[in-house]
Amino acid sequence: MSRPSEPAERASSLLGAAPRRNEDERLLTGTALFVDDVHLDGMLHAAFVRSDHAHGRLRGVDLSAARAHPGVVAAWVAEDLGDYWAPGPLLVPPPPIERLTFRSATQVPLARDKVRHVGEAIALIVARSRYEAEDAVALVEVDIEPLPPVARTEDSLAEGAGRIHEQFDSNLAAHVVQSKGDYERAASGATVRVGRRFRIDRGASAPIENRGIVASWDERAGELTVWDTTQAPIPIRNGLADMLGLPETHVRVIAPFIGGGFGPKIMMFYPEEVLLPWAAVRLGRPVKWIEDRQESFFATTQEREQIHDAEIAVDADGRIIGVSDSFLCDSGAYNPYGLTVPINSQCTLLGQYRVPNYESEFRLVYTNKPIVTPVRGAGRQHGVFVMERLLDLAAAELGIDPTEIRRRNFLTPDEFPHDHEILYQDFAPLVYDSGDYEPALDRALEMIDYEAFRATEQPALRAAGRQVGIGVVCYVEGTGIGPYEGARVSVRSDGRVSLVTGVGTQGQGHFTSFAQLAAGPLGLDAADVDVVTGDTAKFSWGTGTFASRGAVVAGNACHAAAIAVREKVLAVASDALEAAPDDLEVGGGAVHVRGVPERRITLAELAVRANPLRGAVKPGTEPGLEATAYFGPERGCTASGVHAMIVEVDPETAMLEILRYVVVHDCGTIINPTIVNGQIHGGVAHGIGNAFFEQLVFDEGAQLLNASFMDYLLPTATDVPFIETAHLCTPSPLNPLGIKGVGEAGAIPVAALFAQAIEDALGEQAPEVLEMPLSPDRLFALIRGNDAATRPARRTVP
Amino acid sequence: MLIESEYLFGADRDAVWDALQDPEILGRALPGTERLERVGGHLYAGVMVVGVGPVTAARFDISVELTNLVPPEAFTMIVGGQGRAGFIDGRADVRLEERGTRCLMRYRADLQVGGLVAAVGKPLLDTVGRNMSHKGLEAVDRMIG
Amino acid sequence: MQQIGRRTIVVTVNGERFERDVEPRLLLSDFLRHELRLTGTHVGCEHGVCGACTILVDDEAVRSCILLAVQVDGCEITTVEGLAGGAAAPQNLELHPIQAAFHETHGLQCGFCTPGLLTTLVPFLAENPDPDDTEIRQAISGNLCRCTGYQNIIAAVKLAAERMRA
Repeated sequence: MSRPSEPAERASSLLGAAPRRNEDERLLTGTALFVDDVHLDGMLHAAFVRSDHAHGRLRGVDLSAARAHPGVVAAWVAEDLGDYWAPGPLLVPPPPIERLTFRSATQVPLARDKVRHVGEAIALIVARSRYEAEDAVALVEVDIEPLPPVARTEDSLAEGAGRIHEQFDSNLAAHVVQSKGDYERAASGATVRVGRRFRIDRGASAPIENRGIVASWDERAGELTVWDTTQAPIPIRNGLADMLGLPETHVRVIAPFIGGGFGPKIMMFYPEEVLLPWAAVRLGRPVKWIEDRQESFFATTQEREQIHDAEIAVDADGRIIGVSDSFLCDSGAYNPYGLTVPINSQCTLLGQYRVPNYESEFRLVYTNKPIVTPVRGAGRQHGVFVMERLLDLAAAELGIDPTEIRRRNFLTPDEFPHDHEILYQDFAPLVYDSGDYEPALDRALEMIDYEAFRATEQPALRAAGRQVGIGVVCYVEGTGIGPYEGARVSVRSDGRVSLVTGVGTQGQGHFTSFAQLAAGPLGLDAADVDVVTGDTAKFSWGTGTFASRGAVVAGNACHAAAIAVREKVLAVASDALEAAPDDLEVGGGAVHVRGVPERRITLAELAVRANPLRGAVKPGTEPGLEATAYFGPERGCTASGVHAMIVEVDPETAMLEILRYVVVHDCGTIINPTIVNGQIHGGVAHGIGNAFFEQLVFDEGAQLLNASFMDYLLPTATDVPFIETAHLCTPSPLNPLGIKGVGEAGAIPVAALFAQAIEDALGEQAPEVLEMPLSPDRLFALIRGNDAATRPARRTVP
Repeated sequence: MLIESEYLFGADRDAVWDALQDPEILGRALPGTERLERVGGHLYAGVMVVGVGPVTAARFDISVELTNLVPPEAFTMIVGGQGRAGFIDGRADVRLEERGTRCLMRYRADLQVGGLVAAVGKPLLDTVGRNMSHKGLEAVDRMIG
Repeated sequence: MQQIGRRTIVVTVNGERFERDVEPRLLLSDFLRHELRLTGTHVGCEHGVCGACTILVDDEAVRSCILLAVQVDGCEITTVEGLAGGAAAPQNLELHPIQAAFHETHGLQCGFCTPGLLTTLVPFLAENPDPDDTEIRQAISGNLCRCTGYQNIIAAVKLAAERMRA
């Protein structure tokens, strides 16, 4: 296991510190700028006419009444866009997997011949106010000839199913097989083969801030400025420049403070994101569109709908011989994000375990529902749910403790790097860089006091008539994928430091954790660093904040840039103090000669010296105490963890009460433990939503029936328990700081944990929990439906 | 969404059948119909106003067609509606049976709604629909009586 | 001259008096954000569920997205911008104890729901200066937060309550 390099370690004294966040003051006083806070003179407001039908032929749109409405400035349908009308980019092409079928259909700016999901944009209205724009939307007459909708994932490939994209002969978007070893042959010698059908349904990402765009065109400068709630401003800038035929230098995309991202605010090139800039250029006036909550349930991408038929084969000791899995993944009406979600499911299923034989096949299918792209976890939940459930089933068959079967199958530290012999979403082989799983399990069991619970507490509670159970599940999270990010660090003449990076920020604390990484090598505090993120005018290269990669990829770039600046600081100081760089120390906003603290010069003075007004900058040197650095990992790094929970099920109402919740996590080197814990807490809350509250319910016509926060339930403060956390550190050898990502970790194993703990709580009477999300009424039905004639009796843990 | 129900009229079958040929009375039978006019043959057009859950007074332009007419025993009613709050598409198979001097109406309606009215109202629509159709038929009953 | 269909309202917001002609249908949240440009109040759901738009009207926490501007004619309003003491001197801002506690306990991440939580908590802590965890959880159960899992918010409320009692 390689350790972070010596100089990095020495220079990063702020790693693991928990300074308070630099961004908080603005957010707490209401002075932070969010997209909807942007106000420009002469600004117009947009609203969209959207389809009420899930599937239909668009025969006509009558805009005449809308155009005549007071306050309306413009109204457009697809035909009015001319050459600008084009399907969106395929954001992630499929990895080079053999015998792959991939049939790409991406979203369109405005529906032209067909509508393919409820809420698909049909027309754009621009008016003086949002109120007037919405008044006009109500006056638009849309003529749609309904076509048979494909509502259910499992119906999409059926004979006679409505064809969503007529250029293809079925609704198949992709078919992929990845395998290692020979499952069928190996499994024939297994002691236990156990398989089930598992279902995970849809949820919404539901950031509290909906999406929004403001676009402003400066005719004389030929410059377009776009404020966008995007996680990836640089790709959006590049794409818009290309679409509008502008140089990238003349398009500025600003992702200011963003009220939560969770995936769907990625570089989607949503219809609104593509049309607002076009409208601003065409009208010569700024235009704003802010998504309302109801729109967000249709117009913002969603995730999670998959159906797996999976089987595990184990030997008499519970050692995994192999796993076979065949699953359907619902892509919704279009597929802009390629295979990322199902490949994450496919890869993450392998978990922390040694799986010698793996046969995994999936079909990605089009349906008449909103588009699927990654949401916090991005398919990893499904893999973890399937594998952890299979292990529970196998353990029950063998009569061994569920924690024991996991322990017997863990990859051991000497097996890293571990090649799983299939490809990951970043096109690199699925090779785990590092990990040490058993200590995390031990720690979790110790924290939740597993033995005492099993030996004394649970029997006592059962005897008292209470249904209380325990769950323990393990997972990995592939994080920190490439390609690269960059950062520029400069010491200013006031002695403070500016740090600029290209990624956007949606609450992850970048203004603080990145500041720590830059401040450490320069001997400063995080509060001495002013961070800029998400403004393409300030930093031009990069991709964005997604896939738990910000801290890993941008973080290492920030640190590398600061180290390069430190070298410049020492060079200028060496000259000024007439001492060798090796004899200098940096700290307290100054450089001094080691052992002679009075021979010092401040960073402010050095910054001025490095940028002289007279005299020449020496040949071979650059002005300023500034450096730009980039970091690109060879491949993603693998974080891991264990969640444990004690839950009580109310037998009357099937409501749950979580009595304990423990997370032991390993994300390598921690930059800021407070921020890391915050990420875990929020992820677990999201996972609890996906396990027990949040389900998008579609009827047979693919109409969404719960498109409001009244009916779609996010977990509230009374639903999320106190979460106890502990951290282990297995540094990643794939980056100098040894960091692994953590953004999605909390959300990934929660469904599997709920299933296991609920079954344990219900004991002998337990139904098999093979689907997520549950809800009190669904759990109630499962409990009631559990009769011995239709379901196998399930042994409880001895 | 399927609604299957029945209603026992005070009047006899012929009277009920005749009454339902009158657009004003037919309109009463359709929950929420504010206006219904014959536009030709067995084709009618009008306005329906529905309030369900948070959707209050959603206005739909509706068309109603009666087909498969077997006087005085059975007919099929096809309803289409379009409005700001979405759309309504319904088909109801209606049978009229003699019950002594009275008439029992059995109906089986398949209703599809879309847009806002589905997104925030549909969970309530089932109950509301049943309730409203019963009230509508009571009104028809009174008009015949 | 008053336009047809518009009403004149007078409100005091964060101590400052405003007189404006507004359309009767104008939401209070839009009035505050877009007419008065007090954009610290955020809108998350427009149907009174998420709590992000919570403000104080005559010292009571209310949802500004389900009120009309004309309904607060004559009222005193406090928004998040009015909570910090030294708003006139932003370089040397003295935070309200609840704001300071959120900062110290990492009670916010993206910060979008935070203004509504702060304004919900001001009257709550005035009425209940020593709440236990359950009371705090119930008090903020009408404020949705997608980032924090609420844990550090609860810690912030306890810390603020302790300081405000002292």
